[in-house]
Amino acid sequence: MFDGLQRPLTRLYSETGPFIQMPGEEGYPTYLASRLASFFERAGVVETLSGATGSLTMILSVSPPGGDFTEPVTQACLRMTGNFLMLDTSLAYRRHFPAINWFQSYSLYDKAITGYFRETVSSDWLELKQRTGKLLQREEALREVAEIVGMEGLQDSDRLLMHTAEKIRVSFLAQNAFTDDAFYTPQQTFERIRTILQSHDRAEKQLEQGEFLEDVAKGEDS
Amino acid sequence: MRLSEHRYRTITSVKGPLLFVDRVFRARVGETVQIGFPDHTVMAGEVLKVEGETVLIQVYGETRGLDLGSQVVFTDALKSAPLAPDVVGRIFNGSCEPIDGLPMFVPEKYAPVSGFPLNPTARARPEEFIETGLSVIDGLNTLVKGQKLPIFSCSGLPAGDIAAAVLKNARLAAGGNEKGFVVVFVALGLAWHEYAFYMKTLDEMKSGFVAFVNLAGEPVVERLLAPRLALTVAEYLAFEKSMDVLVVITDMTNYCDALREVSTAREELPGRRGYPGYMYSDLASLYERAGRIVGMNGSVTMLPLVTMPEDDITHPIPDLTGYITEEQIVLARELHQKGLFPPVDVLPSLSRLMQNGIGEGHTRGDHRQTADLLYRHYAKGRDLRRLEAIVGRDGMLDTDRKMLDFAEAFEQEFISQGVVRRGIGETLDIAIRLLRKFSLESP
Repeated sequence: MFDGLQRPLTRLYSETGPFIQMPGEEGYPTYLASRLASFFERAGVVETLSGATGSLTMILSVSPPGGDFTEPVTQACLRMTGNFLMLDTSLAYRRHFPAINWFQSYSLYDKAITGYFRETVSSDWLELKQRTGKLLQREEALREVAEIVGMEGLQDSDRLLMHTAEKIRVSFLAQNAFTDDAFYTPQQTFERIRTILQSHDRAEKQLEQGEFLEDVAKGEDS
Repeated sequence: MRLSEHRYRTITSVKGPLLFVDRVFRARVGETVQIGFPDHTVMAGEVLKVEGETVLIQVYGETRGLDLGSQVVFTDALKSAPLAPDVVGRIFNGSCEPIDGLPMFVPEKYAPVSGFPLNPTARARPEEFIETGLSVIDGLNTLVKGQKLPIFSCSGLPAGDIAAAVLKNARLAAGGNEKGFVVVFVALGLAWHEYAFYMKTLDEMKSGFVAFVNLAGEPVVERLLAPRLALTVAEYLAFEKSMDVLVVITDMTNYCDALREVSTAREELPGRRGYPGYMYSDLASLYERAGRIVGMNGSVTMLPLVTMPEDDITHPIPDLTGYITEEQIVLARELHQKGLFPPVDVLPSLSRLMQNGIGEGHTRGDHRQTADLLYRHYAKGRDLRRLEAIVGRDGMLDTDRKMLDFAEAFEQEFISQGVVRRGIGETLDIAIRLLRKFSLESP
């Protein structure tokens, strides 16, 4: 665990001065990216000479000055690492913790780890994950419309979707670090999201059968 | 030619990967040198500049541990690539040493890594179709033999998967070159997880490839050498062994950063964003090595990957690359978030040489017309999405809603294809089926 990757790098920054090196972007030396890369490359899984397996995992926190993700250290890290969790100020202001932006964050190990979860947790893992992603994305688009026409202007099915997305955000993505809520095993994570999506499916069916959204939502919450 | 070997112990300064050696007699620019380290390891280097008796040497490796008393041997030879048909199926590092555990092959000949300039009048027009198995490339931005078509990606997008798909699938359309099709793969500054992924892909291919690999932790200077070695091998296989060669280089952004790093160490004046002013001509000296020659069967086709820093297509690297190459394939984050693979944004993507490689005799007679229609309708649908966000779907005309549905279906069914391979016939059939389904004009 390495907190504040920026700080030692500002030393490189001042190194360019006394050694009269030509600075690259924003005052950082041009070897910033390759130096960082050879540092990151020290993480990995190895088989030792005795046949045991050891691993070195790195979690690094980078605080881009002014929240500007286009600055050199952030960009170099993004290019070299395989996983990115973006902490979002607007989520933090809303007191949504962990404030990890679910659209911008990514993992390049996705494919490998999905196989693992499908084996150890459930074969529906990938499907649920994709559905959740789509649902949240659809909500984002709908929210823009809702801001203009108001919630009442939306169709019932869309309002139901907003309702479910809200539930995903509040009772699935947000976790309180000071309670038991702070830690979930993959199995528990899976159960929770499955429950939410199942009740969404049920409500959708009820809507199709002509029930009113208000009744459906009420029944669901009780 | 020198009759004796020249050895010096006159290093005056070491600056990053650069050495200054004094009182050197008759050195040549580009000459290869051997540097003996105090711990008895030997590293290669190259003469960059000769000024009177002072020589500037670029070391291919880490100079940490070097002292001023170290020995420098001038070999009187220019940096060259060993060549032989046996090169196929092998994996080398950035200095052309085998890293696949097998001994070095016996070279048939050596050629300078900078290559020989191609006489413009000897160039043949690129006009033969290469099937990559990806609808969005084959159907809309067709790759032709002898072309250079970069993929512009953003960090976090699966550009590697696309390169791997092309590597596995690229083969000539029926009636192609019987001498063979070979992939030259160049990995520049890759992290281990990416390298492991590519190696798995290459292993599954069994043969038909040559790989030059420089990992993120390996010397930066080799990053400048590796693509030149690879292109020299590619030219040899293409123009002497009449093979069709596809050169995949990933990632050009790391190449340009290495260029900047070395340029700064050489105390050259930085240009835009600190990149050297000659970056354009340096990139051109690589990209322009793709092509075909009149009266020869072989061809060198290039597929470089560029990661756009900050997702910015106006950054010097994608900008200069776009000037030289015959346009580009651009990946988009939104499409990736939608779960589409390959996430290619077709609107800014373009293949300028496509016209020559499609139609009757190459792909199919209705190819051009189909591609144009898809572009026209999809662009319309994309424009309408902005309108939809404002007035809502219900407030739109029926025809507009149809275009929206078409754009969605086009993304889901044509662009997105997962890992399956599609032939060009299948690609065009899907396109025509989509056009008919939405009762749009179709060829």
